[in-house]
Amino acid sequence: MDFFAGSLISGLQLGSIYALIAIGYSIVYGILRLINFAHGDLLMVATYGAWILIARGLSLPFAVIGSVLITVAFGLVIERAAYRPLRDAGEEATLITSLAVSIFLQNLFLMVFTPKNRAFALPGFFSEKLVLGGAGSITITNMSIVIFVVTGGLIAAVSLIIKKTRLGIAMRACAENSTAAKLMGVNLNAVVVFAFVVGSALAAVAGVLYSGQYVSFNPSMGFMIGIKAFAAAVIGGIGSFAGAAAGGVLLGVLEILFACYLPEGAGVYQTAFVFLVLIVVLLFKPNGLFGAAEGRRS
Amino acid sequence: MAKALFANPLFKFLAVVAAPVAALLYIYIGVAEYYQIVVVMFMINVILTASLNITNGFAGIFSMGQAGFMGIGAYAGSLLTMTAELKFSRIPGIPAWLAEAHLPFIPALVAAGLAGAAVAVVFGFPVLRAKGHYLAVMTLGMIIIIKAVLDNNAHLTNGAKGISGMERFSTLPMVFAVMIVSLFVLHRMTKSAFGRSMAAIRSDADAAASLGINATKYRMTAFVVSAFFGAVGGSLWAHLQQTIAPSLFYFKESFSILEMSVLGGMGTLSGAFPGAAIVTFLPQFLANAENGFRVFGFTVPALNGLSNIVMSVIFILVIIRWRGGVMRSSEYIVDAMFGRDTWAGLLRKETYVDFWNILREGLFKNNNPHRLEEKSKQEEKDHEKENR
Amino acid sequence: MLEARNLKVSYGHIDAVRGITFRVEAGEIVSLIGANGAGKSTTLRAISGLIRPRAGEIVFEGKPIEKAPPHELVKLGIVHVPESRQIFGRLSVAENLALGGYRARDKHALSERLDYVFGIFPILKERYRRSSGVLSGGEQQMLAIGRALMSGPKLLLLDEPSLGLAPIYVQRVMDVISQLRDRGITILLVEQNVHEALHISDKTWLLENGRIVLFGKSGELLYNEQIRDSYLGGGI
Repeated sequence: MDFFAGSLISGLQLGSIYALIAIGYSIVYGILRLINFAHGDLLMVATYGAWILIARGLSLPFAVIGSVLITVAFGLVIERAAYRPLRDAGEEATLITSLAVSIFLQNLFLMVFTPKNRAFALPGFFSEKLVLGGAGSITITNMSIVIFVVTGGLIAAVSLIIKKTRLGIAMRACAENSTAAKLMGVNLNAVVVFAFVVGSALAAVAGVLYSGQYVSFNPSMGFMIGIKAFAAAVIGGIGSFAGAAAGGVLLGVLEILFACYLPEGAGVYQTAFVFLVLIVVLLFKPNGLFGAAEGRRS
Repeated sequence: MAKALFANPLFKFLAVVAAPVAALLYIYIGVAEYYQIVVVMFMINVILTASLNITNGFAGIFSMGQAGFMGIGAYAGSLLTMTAELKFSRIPGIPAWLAEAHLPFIPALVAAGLAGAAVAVVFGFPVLRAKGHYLAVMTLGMIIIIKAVLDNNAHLTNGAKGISGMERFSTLPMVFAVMIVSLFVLHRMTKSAFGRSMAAIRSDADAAASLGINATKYRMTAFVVSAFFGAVGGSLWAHLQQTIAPSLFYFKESFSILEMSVLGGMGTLSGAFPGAAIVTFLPQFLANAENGFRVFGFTVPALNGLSNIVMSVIFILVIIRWRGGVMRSSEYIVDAMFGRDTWAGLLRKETYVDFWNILREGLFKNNNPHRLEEKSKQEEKDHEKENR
Repeated sequence: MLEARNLKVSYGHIDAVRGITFRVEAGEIVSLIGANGAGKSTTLRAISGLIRPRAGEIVFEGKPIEKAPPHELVKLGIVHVPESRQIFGRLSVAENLALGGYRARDKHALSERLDYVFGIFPILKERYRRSSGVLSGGEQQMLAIGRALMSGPKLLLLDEPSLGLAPIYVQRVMDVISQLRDRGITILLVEQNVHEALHISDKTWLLENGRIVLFGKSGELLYNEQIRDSYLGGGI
């Protein structure tokens, strides 16, 4: 199989997952100017949720739905308990609080499930390979196809919601000027809750896809992935839906290509590389690749 | 009465200087080594927290990367104090120039600080161009990059396995001395023109610029100074724990320092004391619970990570309820330690007279209702006089 | 229709409104005038629920509303057009107007209101699909008022509608405000442009440093010496 094509597919896979998470970050940041570090940990919550439900005998689709519900529940509790009281506090307060929530979640699951690495075993169907193309053919697993289809569908769906529905317009209005939005009769708390529901659901799906693809999971997995996805959102331009999606995909591709193509030993710099990209992009485009200049009244 | 008491120089001296020093002396001489180590840890944490408050509180630069500078200082300091033989044996492949490099502890400490400062200069250029959230995330990236470099240069650092065997130079008196000197330097900085410019920039960068204040220069200076002391703290840490590894200077540690900073009060140096105290000593109490205990006949199993959970909950509650931390914006402790008010006050007779009067009032007030009546009658008369 | 009793509003330690009592009768245009910082905008924000008053009551159609959140008040029929318009520049004119009708459920009523808005502000129909950020100041003010009308208000709170507008737009806006009153909408107008305010409104309350110092029929106040000297520059 063509090495480049294979790497590209791997990159797109990872990137799609990053995109889902990055969109969640973006939606919440757009409205609240809040960087939810705990967002990445919701991935982890979803994975454990799905794993437990499958162990209890639920079939895969129900387990996934169940884990999405569990994750959304966590997300809503966090919003209500930790972020809503800080609604009018400065950037710093919300930043450190979300870090604290992240640590809380990680340690909670550490306590209950121990740090042990576990395996998320999906039915064999997902590892079956499909061969595309003739000579110089590309092999792709069903899992990859599932990832592309699911993320593509979700991104399209969320995009539609944001552009066309009443609630979506309300969300964009709140992101631009929450005071004026309130005067239009928009219930800011309801919009925030909706944003968290969407974001948490996306993170949950991302979590299940990620663990399905990369198999191994533990309580600390979410934070790092979340940070990278956040970097992706920032690179694309945080607050911008398209930017987040694009940033996610771009970062995934770059990260995998970097790992595959650069000389031996440099591969371990993978994560550091992500941040180097971030720093470089922000140097030239301080608002991200697609970001609009920040000018917000509230 | 309390207000007058706290303002009295003798009280300040006793509470902030004499009592703690006496306590430290007692601990040094009379207490088991395990507890001494915790106290030394506390003092190191004070240095680390104070260094973070310079950027986060004074300069308005929200950095989450202090652990990175700690790590730089730990490695630089250790590599300089370890003997050549030790280095050859612990770090296979170490180049000769690094193995031969050797300095006594204190110069090595300063060198470690400078190493941290140098790294800050390098990162400062891109990182400080950003603001707010973006800056914070860039500092996270900074820790990641530093760890990656430490992990992957095994010929210099022995990679992820880390290094052990440095001497325990961080004794109680030594760390105490470094802490005092560091706080003094930082204190002078905040009180100087530099400190005032910093405050101006923090409140309104544009207005400050129109006054001719070069924000970039000041921010960089704050960042570098903070890194210097962070690295010093790291080196002290290394020479206490006697073992270092890149994973020990990562997110968890950065967050710990951040916790101390926020809990104690981010905008002041004094906040370092209550903040470091809570984060250093509280988990010690919780550590017992982590191993399981019996309550009402039930056995609570070992709860891994309980102290972290409790700390993070406390942290969230504090932010929601007491955003300014313990000290809010009060520099009471550090001012009392170094302020001219305290030391000059000790030379004046009135200080001692006032102190005695305040004590008398406080001690005898409750035992003498007669005096109370007299006092309130006197107060009424004074009040009437005022109103006329 | 609306009554405020001993209203006190503060920003932290700063008392912006220090105990004012006033009324707005249904079907009237009432103006609240005063210098910068007198507390006019703050009063509107207290009425529309953006700020909770420190003390005092606000009663709308018999119901106390001082504790209600803004989105509730829109449901009751109180709509606030804030200072400097504050339209959603990143959204289109259509989306801005749609937001105005956020609370409304009746599609028929919404489409009627939209037609009415197009009637008084034809330019909004022209620019319907365009981004609202490119509209001129006057056009933005029209959009802001149009947006407010989409929710079918009973009481319209207008905060300095003439601010920063070219005179021709000021006239236009004032004409529309009169029209709205004729349609039965009660209007509470805050204005620094005292001249216009006195001409268009039925009654006027004068605010100074957070207190009401004068009240009367706007027509009569035009000839009031205090107002002439302080706010109208003396002379006719």
